[in-house]
Amino acid sequence: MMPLLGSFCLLFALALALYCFVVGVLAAVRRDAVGYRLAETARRAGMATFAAVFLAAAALVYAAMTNDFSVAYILHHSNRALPGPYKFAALWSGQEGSMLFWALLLSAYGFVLRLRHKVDQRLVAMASMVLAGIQVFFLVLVNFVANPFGMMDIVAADGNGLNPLLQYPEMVIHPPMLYLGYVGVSVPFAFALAALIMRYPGEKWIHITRRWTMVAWLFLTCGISLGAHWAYAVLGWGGYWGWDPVENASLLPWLSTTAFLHSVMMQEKRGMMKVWNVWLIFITFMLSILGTMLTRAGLVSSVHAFAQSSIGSWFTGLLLVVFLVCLFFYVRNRDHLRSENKLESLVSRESSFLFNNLVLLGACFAVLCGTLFPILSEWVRDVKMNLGAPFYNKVMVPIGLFLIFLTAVGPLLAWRSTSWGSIKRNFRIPAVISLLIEIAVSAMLIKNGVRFWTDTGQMYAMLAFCLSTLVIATIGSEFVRGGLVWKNKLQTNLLAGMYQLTRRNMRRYGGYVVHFGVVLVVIGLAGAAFNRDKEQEMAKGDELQIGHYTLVGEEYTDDDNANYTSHAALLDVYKDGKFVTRLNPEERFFKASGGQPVHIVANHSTLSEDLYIVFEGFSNGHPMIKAMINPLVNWIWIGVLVVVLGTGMALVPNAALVTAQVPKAAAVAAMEEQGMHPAGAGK
Amino acid sequence: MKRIAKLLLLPCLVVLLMGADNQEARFQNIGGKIMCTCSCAQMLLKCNHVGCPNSDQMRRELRAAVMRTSNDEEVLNWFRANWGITAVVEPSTHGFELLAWILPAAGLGLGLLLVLLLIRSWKLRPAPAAAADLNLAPDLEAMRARARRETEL
Amino acid sequence: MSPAVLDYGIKMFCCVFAAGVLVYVFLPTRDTETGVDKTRVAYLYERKDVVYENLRDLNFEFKSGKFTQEDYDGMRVGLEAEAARILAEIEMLESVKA
Repeated sequence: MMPLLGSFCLLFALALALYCFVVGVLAAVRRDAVGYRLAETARRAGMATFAAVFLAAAALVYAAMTNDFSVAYILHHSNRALPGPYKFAALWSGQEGSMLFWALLLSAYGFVLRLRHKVDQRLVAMASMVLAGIQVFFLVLVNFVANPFGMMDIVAADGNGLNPLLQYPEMVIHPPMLYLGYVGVSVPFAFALAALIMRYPGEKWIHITRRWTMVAWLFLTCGISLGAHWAYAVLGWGGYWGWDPVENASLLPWLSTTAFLHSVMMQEKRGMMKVWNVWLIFITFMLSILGTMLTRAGLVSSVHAFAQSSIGSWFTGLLLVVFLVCLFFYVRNRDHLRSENKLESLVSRESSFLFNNLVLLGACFAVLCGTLFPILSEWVRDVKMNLGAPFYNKVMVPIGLFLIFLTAVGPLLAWRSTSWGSIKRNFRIPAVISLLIEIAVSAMLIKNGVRFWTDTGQMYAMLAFCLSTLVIATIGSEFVRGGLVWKNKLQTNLLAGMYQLTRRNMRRYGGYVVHFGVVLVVIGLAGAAFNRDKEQEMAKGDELQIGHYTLVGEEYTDDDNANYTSHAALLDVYKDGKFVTRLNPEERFFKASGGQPVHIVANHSTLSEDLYIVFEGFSNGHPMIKAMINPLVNWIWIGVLVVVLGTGMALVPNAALVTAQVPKAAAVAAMEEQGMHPAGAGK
Repeated sequence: MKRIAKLLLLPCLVVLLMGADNQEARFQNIGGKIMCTCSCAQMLLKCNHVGCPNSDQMRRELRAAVMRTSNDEEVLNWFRANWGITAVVEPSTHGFELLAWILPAAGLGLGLLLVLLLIRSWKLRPAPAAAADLNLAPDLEAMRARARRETEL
Repeated sequence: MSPAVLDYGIKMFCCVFAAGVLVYVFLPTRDTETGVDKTRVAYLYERKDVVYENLRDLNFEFKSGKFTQEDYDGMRVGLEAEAARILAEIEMLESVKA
């Protein structure tokens, strides 16, 4: 019964979205009373799209929860024994469902946007039209190409189950996070295109979309790091990032959104880089579509390509249309994007943003090349040649290091121009602190017998530590200097001064906290250069020695339940002869998926290192245990939490200014003035 | 005599051991560029799942190839020929695969060129009215004073 | 509940839902707002806020000891000139309107 409701709602949603789009265009062309009334109906149709898509998604979830295997999609992505949350996750674990999920999120974003249309009705109406256009595409897909409500002729007794690799708590939230990020990028894209189409004066659209962009970025960040954590915890190879095409697909829009978040400040503050920003957000949106396509269309072979089909050509078509539309309006209205200021000096925050953008986009381009190289090589040589981690590490590590350097330098430069005197004044103390820390770290490593200068990876890691501490020191100096000003002004202590400082510019100081988090992540990543591992057969009572740790095999058990069978090992861990903990690595075989093995890793995690144990199964009847020591990994997850905290801070509005503000009444009165002509920026 | 022989042998042994050390380093280095072909999506030296049909043999062959020739590129080519070119995930530095190395560099280079051109065009462009000259007409001085007053901390 | 009744119920629900949505879309309860084109003055107020914010940032950063006196003077003069022109234009447009 539910599939009927779902199919109906999807068709109805398509009709509503089409209406919203077509009438939106009409209303934009006809600028009279009828046009405004039409625009209002379009807005309401757009909001109603959300209700319809929501009902369709609810119908699919209901079918999954009630084991309705007459629906082909449920048959293929669920089974009776599957725990509830994973049944719910079936909504996004297959191709058809994830397309529906995309449409749902897009309509939800559109709903909020259209609800808040008072911020600027004209602009929101235009942006709503752009969103409706994207919505139509996804609804056409779910209605006619990848319909999640396709029925089976014969109802099976049980489903095929969810991919066992996905049966992990984080996997319930990782895909929705990434999709929220991918889809979230549509909002700034829609506003940018709308502002360009209607030659919107000023930078208010950036102001309106600033939080949207940050939220999309935050979701992407969370999605990527949850994915990394999942890979670390589930895939059992001891790493968190494998440069898999689908991982890259999420990194691409993340990189370009990061670039956009920075360069957009140049437009807000100085009225510069308008063309650049507009194209940056266009490209970011196209990359998020490409990301969805890589994940869901199986363009490049990948361990993630859980679903493959022919919708790739639809996405290619969408990309092409988006590009052409953007290009058309850019060519038509490009004079509107003239810069209001010019670069006055190479040593200024403007140019540091420029280089930041160059490096981020360079990284983005390198990843894109590597990801699409298999396709290129298939065209040219008829063979898909994959590029693996060694390639990416060689290309990306130097780029990343340069980026950290810019993170350290950028905030200390002033807008317009900075003299060497100012630079020296700002850098002296952070540089000395960073150098001292680096010397201490080197001494410690040498004392522990690590000859880091003999290994390129470790040399890079040392450089990363050095630059990271420089960033931390410069951020610290920013907080302390600013805090001191408030301390003196308000006659309070330094901490309260720093709090006041942050409250009055949440975006900036939240941004510094994000930088701090990113640097912690970098420190964690650099730790990988010092990884060690060891593998051996471990019968009961056998010992395995790695680093300071000794593992002793205590017991081996088997388990069998409705969902999977498993083997597990119980290992006692001693550090320098002292008992530390007991670990329980497992290997599971999920029944519904034909006995594919999944490793449940046991990890003894501390701030300095992880002891990471994988039960690899049996070799000649003996259990095989692989032990790894991965230094500093925890700092990656801590860093991500700090990044989330910082972004949260940047989203909070500032505390009121201390100085008096000119009343806004005059501005409002001016806006109500009908006789005045709309003005272009920079006139 | 024995002593002299021993003294002579020692450097030879050292050289041999260094050779072995060097061989091991090459094995590790080249192994880091080859992917296990059992579709486990892991690097050859990292792949160790039980019952892997390929990795043990591939590792044996790699060790043999490292001993056989001192040219790393030759070893990789041997793997490309025998295990398919998808086995080697680090592109070689000539032919079509060179493109993989050139593209990112070219992208960055092009970007740098663009940025420099942009900066040049900014510098050359006549300054927009708003920032043209800093000497204001007397009637604007009042406005400047107001701006200063309103933005003082 | 028998499948036939459920089926009927769902069909009814679809109809009611569709009718409700159509009423919502095409029968706006209040007068539609037309929205206005943005005026030059409104744009100038936006610019003024931005330039003021830049000036406040600059003053603050100077107070926290980030720039030398010459850097600060140079940047402040530039920004103040920008602010002055915007203020003057706002004043001019508003006096015309009055």
